[in-house]
Order: sequence, then C-alpha cells, then structure tokens
Amino acid sequence: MKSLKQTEIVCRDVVEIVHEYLEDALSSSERAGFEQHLHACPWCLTYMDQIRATALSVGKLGEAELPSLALPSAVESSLVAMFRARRKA
Amino acid sequence: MTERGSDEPGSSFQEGGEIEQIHASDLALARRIEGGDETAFVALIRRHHAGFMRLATVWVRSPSVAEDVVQETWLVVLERLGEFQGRSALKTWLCGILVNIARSRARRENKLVPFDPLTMAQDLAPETAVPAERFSPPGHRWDGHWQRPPRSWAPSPEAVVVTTETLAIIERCLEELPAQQKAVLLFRDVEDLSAEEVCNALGISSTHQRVLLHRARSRMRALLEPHYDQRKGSSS
Repeated sequence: MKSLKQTEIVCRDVVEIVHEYLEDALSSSERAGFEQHLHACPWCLTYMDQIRATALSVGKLGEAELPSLALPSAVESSLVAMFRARRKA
Repeated sequence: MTERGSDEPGSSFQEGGEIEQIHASDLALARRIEGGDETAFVALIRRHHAGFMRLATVWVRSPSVAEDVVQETWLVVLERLGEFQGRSALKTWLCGILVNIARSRARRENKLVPFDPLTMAQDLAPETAVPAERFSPPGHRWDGHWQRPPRSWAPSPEAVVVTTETLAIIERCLEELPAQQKAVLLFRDVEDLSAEEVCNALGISSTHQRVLLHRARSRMRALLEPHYDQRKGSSS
C-alpha cells in the first residue's frame, strides 16, 4: 500500500489506503488528511460505503443455507456416534 | 456476519498484571459439551459446518477432502475441548484447529500450501484497487481525482439488499481469489474474526493481513459494482 508522504490526499490514494483507515493503521496526521479529504469528496465517501457494503454482503454468506455445504445426515450421525462413544469411554 | 454477541467477552480477571478477557458463555458451552450435552454438540457442528467447509477449501480443493478435514477437526475438538479455557472465542479456537488440520492435509498431498513460507510472497505483486483510467491522469488539472466516480448502491451500507444472485456472484469471486486472500476474507467477513485473531490463526503479520484483506475486498467490490449499479439503475 502507498505510503503517504504528500500532505494532500487525492481520490486515487483513498482507494488504496481505505483499509488502513478502517483498520486504524494510519498515523494521526495521515488520518486527519484522509478525513479532511472525505469531508470534501462525496465520491470517496460513496467508495468507502461500497467497501463497507461489500464486507456486509460477503458476511451474508454465513447466513445462507446452501445445499452444497449442508451437513450430510450420515456425517452428523457418525459425529454423534463418536460423541457418544467418547462419553462411554 | 454471525453470532457476534456470543463471542463477546463475558468477564475479565487480572493475572501477572495483565487483564485477560474470558469468553464466559463460550466456556460454559464447552463445559456442557464436555459434560455430555449431545444437543449442544449437535447445535455446534450444525452452526459451523458450512463455514468450516468453505474454509477447508482454502487449503484442499476437493469437497470430499474438505469433508474429511472438517470431520477430523471435530474429532480433535472432542479430544481437546478440556484445554479450552475461554481466553479466545470458541469459534477462534475451533478455526485454529481446522487450519492446522487442513494445512497438514495439504502438505501430505504435496500441494502448495497457502501461508507456508514458499507461498508467502504470492499475492503481494503490485496491483491497484481501482483501474487507473477511472481517475484523471497525471498532468490533468484534476490529477488523481475521480473521472468516473462510484455510484451509491443504497442509502447506507446496511441497506444494501443481498439477493441469491448477489450471493452467487460472491461465491464465484471467492473461487477466483488467491487462496490467502480468500482465507482472510472468509475469516474477517463471514466468520467475523478480528484482525488479531486472523493473524494468530494464520501465522501472518498484521500488515500482511491488512494487505490481503484490502486486495480481497477491493476485488470483490469491483465484481459487485456492475451488479449493484445495474440494480440501482433499474429501480430508479
């Protein structure tokens, strides 16, 4: 990722350091410059919203019930049998 | 993103001057299963099966081998559940076991193993999050500013509607991502692990984790952009 030495951040920089901002990895001066840019640039705010929406959209996979990833009943039965065997042991 | 509430630390204690968080509800669940609560065990394996299958395929491509890895994970979990002390979320502890088993399996099969030293340099070649032509070029009055700016997908990120079609695009993109990026994206955005937990599970630095997350989410955003733009266009 780009190291920001210049004082003025442009949109091309924002898309490269957006995760350093979201993950709190920018220095205080870089953070201030980044936020200053966001206040003045609705398009970069939209870009950051898109990144957040992307993360939330990917997260929805965890709630989806996909048949290809369902726990087969035979596997569940075998795991339960293993669980019971361990209890007896 | 799932069950964040159950992973919240329930209490803390002080030992050697450091405050350590205890995941009380996870610890109680582990003790119930250890004590023979079959219902709790079945609920646990049902909850994590799909996520574990997805994660296993980062290291082993074949679904049947991934199934073996997940089953072996549960075997090891039952053997070692007594060692779980609640110092991490149970899910983080389970993921650590899964990663170790999947990695060993990939090594046994002589596969290139993601996150092994030989493959660590992979995925770190320079690339841009957004194509250069979307910004005004050097020499232009507005050098580096948007020339073709992004469009809003919804009033807020939380308001974006994820359909079956969206999920299919996401699944396809996941399959195309380099293995290390896929692993970090799954851990962070699907399993909801923290950056630190991902670094520990995968044995990578915080900088490497952040670069992989940045690249994975940037690629995913780029693939979702036409889908959400088109939907927004057809609804307005």
